[in-house]
Amino acid sequence: MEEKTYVEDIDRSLYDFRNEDEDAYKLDEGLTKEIVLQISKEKNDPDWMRELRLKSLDIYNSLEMPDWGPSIEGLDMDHIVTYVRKNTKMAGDWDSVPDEIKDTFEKLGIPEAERKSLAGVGAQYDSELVYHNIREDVAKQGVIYTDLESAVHGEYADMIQEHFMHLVPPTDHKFAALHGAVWSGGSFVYVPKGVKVEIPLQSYFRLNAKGAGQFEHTLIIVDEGADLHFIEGCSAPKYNVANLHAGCVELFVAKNARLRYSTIENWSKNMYNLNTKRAIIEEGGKMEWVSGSFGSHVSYLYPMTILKGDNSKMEFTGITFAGKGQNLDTGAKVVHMGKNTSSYMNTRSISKGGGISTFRSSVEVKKEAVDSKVSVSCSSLMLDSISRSDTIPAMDIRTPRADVGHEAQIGKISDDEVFYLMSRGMTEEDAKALIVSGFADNVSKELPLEYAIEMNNLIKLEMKGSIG
Amino acid sequence: MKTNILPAYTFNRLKMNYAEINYEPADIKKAAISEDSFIDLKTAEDVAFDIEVAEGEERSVIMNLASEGTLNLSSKINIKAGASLKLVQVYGGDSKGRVINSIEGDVDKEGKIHIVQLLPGRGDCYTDCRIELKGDKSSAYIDMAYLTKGGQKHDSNYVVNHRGKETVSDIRTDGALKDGAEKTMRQTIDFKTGASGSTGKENEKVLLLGEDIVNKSIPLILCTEEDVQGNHGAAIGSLNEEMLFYLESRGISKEEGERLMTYANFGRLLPFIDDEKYREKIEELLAEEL
Repeated sequence: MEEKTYVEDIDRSLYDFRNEDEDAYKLDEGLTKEIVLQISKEKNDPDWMRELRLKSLDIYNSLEMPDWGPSIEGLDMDHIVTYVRKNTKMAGDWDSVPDEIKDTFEKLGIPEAERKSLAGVGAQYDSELVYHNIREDVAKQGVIYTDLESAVHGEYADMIQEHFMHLVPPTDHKFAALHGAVWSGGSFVYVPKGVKVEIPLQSYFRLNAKGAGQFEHTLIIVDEGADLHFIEGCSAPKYNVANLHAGCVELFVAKNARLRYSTIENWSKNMYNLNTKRAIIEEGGKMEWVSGSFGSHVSYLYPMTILKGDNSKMEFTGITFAGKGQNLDTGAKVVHMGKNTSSYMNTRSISKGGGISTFRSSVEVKKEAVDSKVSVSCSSLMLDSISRSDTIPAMDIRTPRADVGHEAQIGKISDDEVFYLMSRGMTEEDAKALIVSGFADNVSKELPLEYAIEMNNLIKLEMKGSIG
Repeated sequence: MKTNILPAYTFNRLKMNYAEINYEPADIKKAAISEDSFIDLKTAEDVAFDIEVAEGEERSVIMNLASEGTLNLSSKINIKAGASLKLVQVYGGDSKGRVINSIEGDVDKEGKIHIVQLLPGRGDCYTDCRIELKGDKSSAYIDMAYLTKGGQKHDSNYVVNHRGKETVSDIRTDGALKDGAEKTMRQTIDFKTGASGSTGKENEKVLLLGEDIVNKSIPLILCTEEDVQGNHGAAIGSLNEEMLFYLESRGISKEEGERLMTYANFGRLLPFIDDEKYREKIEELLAEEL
């Protein structure tokens, strides 16, 4: 009998250590007006922010759960702690970060990455930032990279009020409303006109507390002609109760600016990842998403790009790996509003061990978006027959002057490709390993080298077994 | 009534998960297939047919859907082992009429169903077609051509469930939208566990020819079986510069080029109409509409 080529689940041991949170300050489980007001008080919110939180709570209570995606029945908001803070303040150098937390980020390789290849780092532990730093030469260019709470109160307060939850309003969906009510932590980036940040900034989000939620908000403004690569990483240890991530990312890309936003998501398998990301692009601007989804029990993740300005562009490159116990519903959305806009989506998904992977997308080309071009390509690989892989792409085109192409494939590892490689001296096992590794190449080749290596380590495609 | 329900829902705000029609069926009349297998439906009514194709039998049925007002038609099809059915439907009624067409088909081992539909811009059209490929090596082919124009609505839902081993499906819909037309196309191939060795294809081409059009497309591939091959391809747009240059260099204007391309979608399907007189009649209808 043929033994199936075995592709290992992602090795999460690197991410699965946990710290005790005895000295942490926690609010009660659940979501009430009192809890929202308590968070607001902890943050010393300005009036407008407190009002936004309360309005968001009302909206949350008025909206239904989504009826179209993976089940989120296992998520009980009455048992989620929305705010957990370690007994520490944010530091600007790692030596000032408490040992236990510093050790966590050391294990995740963040300080080392900062020394080697980053222009700045923000590190969030549960609900609060514990470290934030930007390289002096980058700061001198006028680049702002700070925690969002400081920005709300500091000299950028007006800029924050002008942009915060304007792109993703609390009315967008139930978990955007939840985010609006209880958000905490996250980063603010401003890149001034014409400034090109040569090496990336990175924010890393670590959720340590059992049964907690993380609701960080990332707000990035890349001004006219500027250029930035922002990397987002996230992980959590595994618990036997549900954890929740309902972050929000709002990206503003001005005229002729470019923003690349890369994410390697590796939440633990008890995590409900209900994250919202959205970018609006002005004339001639470009948005590039690079997205790897490996963790979580359930994911709803569809970064959205609004191509508002004429000649603006979007590229989305993504990979999703769903293993045992995972239901990962991922993809992208794009709205073409400006003339001569273009979008390109290229995604891969792998399902194994009973995992469910769904590629879901929407492409909207508005009446005014004449001479726009769209290309969507998605490929799915099924590694066994106990898994599931679905492709659900939607297109809504309202101008005759558009050129839209879409292609999708689903299948197993190609026998022809295995035969070809074997005819050149590879064993069947090695040939299959190479094909599966190559399948993820669309994302790894878009990442900086260190992150591509991390991603390949994450996938750990190990093959075993006699074939046929 | 609610119809054309997508097997897996997506974002509600896109309004693609199902179609809502302002119509409630009255008593549904059961009707029999005439001996010559030509069904001429010219009255606004709610009517249902059972089409049985016996083991090893080859059958061809033509339905001329040409009523004024709303024709609500339902066909339940059962194709036994080794049998085949070609069902040709032409939506050729009043340009202000409406057809609500439902097809449910079961196909046994090595059976085959071929559905050919021509929608030459005569009124609103709703098509809900679900085929179950139950038997091993059974197959389903769906060929549809359409023109939707002048404020007409065209809403379709094609679903093929692959259950048997080595089953084959091929859904191809080609059409054109003109001036205020609104079209939603749902295509689904669903590989169920156990359908090993199966292949499925979805293909959609849409020519966009006028202003104020709405083109919605949602091609699904659902899969719980490893050993399958599923493909989807869609091309949506107007005639590109290269094509226009090619046509104009041969003395063909843009308008004539668009007409030719629209006709080509139907022309590909005309040979599937076995009844020569009826085929000529449809050619006349196409000439009139295009």
